Amino acid sequence: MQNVPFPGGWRYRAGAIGGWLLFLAMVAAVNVGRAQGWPEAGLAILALGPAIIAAVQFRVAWKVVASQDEFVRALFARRMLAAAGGGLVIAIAWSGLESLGAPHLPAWLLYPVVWGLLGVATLVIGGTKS
Amino acid sequence: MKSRLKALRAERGWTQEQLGQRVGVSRYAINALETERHDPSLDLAFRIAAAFGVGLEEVFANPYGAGR
Repeated sequence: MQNVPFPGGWRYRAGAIGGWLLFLAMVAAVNVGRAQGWPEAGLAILALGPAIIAAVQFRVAWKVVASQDEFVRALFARRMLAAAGGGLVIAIAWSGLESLGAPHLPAWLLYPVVWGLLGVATLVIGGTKS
Repeated sequence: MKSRLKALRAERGWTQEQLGQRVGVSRYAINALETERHDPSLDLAFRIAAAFGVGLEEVFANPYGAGR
């Protein structure tokens, strides 16, 4: 099976790495800000930052995939569906376990988990047929 | 979907990349068609047949019979 990597070029990759660094920096800044008593309004804006970065990253990934041929589009749709579905299953399962006493995990962890699952799906799903 | 894509491409001495460029898709798409990991849209199937200068069913076998 010929593996098909994500089609973005170096600009996409550089942007993705920058986005991830900003995402993690904002998550860390919210925690630091809370500990140091930063103003609530500023913290609220900062807390929404990772969600905005996730939205922008998905929008850019969407545009990159949409500009590809029919095979690559269908392939990445299948992979993303598998990754998103896997992420939902993990989140729902963990939510159930939390109600039984498992430690609370922040929801933002779902974002790297979904991208990690997309990486796994890239290795496993190589065609557009079941 | 069974096809004669690889044989027709070999007859003309084209690489997957070259055929992909002729029909406007990636080499990954051509590879997926040749290894039956993707069924082409009707539009792509027609583009490929036109690139080879043959009829559609000379490239892709009709899975539902001859269609007569």
